[in-house]
Amino acid sequence: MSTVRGASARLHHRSLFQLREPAFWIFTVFVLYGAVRMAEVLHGLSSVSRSAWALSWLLLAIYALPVVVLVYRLDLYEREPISLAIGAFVWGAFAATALTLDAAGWEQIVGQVLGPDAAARWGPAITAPVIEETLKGAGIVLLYLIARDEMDDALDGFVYGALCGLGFAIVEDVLYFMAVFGGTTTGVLEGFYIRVVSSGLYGHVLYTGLVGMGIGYVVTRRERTPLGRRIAVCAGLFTIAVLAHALWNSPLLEFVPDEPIEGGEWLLIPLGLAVKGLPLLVLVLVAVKLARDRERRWLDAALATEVGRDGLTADELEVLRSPARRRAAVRTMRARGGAPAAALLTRLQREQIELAMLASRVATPDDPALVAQRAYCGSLRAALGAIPGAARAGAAGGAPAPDDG
Amino acid sequence: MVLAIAFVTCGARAVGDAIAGPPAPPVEVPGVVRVQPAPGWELAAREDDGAEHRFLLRRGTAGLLVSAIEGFGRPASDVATSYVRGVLDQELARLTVEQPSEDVVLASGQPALRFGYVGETDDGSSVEGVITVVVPASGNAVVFDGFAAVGDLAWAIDDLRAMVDGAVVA
Repeated sequence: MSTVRGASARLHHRSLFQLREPAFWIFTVFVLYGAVRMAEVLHGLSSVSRSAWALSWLLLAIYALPVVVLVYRLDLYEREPISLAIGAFVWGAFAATALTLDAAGWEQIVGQVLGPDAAARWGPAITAPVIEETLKGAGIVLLYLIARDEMDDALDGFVYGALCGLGFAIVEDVLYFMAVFGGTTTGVLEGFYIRVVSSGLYGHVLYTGLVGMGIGYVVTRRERTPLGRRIAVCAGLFTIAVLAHALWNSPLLEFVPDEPIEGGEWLLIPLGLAVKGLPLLVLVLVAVKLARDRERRWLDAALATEVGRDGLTADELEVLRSPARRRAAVRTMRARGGAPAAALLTRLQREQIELAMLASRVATPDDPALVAQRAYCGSLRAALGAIPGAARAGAAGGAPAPDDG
Repeated sequence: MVLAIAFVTCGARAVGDAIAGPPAPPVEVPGVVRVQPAPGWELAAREDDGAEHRFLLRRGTAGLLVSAIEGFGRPASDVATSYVRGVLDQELARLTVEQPSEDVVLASGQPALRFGYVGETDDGSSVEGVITVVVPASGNAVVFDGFAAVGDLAWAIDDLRAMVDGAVVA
């Protein structure tokens, strides 16, 4: 059993800290460089007003936490390892932001070619989207190279990309609050209203989510999709992200009231910004829905031959397909069988998803690792059945009844 | 991957230098200040009004506005205050000026006063800049205002420092 558990563990749940992977050290060097560079920049801005600087971080933390939870829970069946998710965020927050500052010279070249006035107006739309999406995307590629097994489909790429984009957005927002909105308490609140309340649903989370989705598509569809098509899809998603970013930065479709903004005009800002941001948000929601539907189909296909064997019952599969039903089953189990039973059911559900992972990767249904995983799931179910109250919770629906496999 | 990151971050300097052409000739207010433009920088505007002179050097979104007043006869801190109120406050919204200013010595040996600022132009573009005020023994006053779009100043700062440090102020 221990050998089998070891084989299963190697399939997934790799952490960021893969010391033997060159990509890990490249990732680390860039993140450390970015942390030092951005610490210097952010420390300089803190001298404008420490209270406004602290307020900036507080407000952005309030915004970021629910977004992190939302993005992290997008994956229906296998949440990404925490260290890799944090790695994506940190790359966006420090490495990508610092490298973007270093790449500011491209806007100067636009200025040399188009002239200073045109560059001031169009430079942010021409250079920033390509530079920023490339640098953020580079972090996702490095994360993939560090832990290849952890990117199983396009949705995983979206999760890493969106977290990377969120990290970038947070640090960029602090820079804007302090440098562009004046660095006062009033300026920070104004910046928060415009950049987060009015437009926080759009922006870097979506752009880099799409870029990550493209990277995920390229690296996970090797067996069924020709390389040319995979690259075309990835390039298409990257292009959509860059164009949406360029539109956002451009002077086109500017329906936000001119300064000074007074009274009811403040309410027009979210509407004005929605014209630019909403179409991409809808597009991304559709793309994520398609990716999640594909995950469900993958689970059904992977477990089709497992239903009725030791590891999985038909009722358990129905529960397993839906995160909401899985959580409901755990709640029911906790109410009737107590916390240990709920923990055991959570463990059983996780191991049944591992069973699906194994089933989709091994060549034959009697592969020793797969057989052992079935047995392991069966033993967990038996252990669950031995807890008083757990059997009744299973019989009530949503949770596995003991010894029914 | 590393090469791609290096090209995106450092390639602009090489491309910019390649298309910059030879350095422009020095720009001078006789007997007050003389500035040698860095490669790629060129004279974009010039005004001479009696004892007051201004000229603007530009490269891309970055600029160096040099203002000189003959025989101003007041300390550098007064010149700085006057410049903030008379120029920056008039031209920029949401102006934030770095406090306190820093006493520095230029490479030429001239003592100077230096401080940063951030503001927003009429068209909504955000700019950041570094002011260097030099008041030599002659009583002339020279203000070097190096600026760029927010985020771009770090890229232009080496050129700006080279031009300001190398300027001859009399």
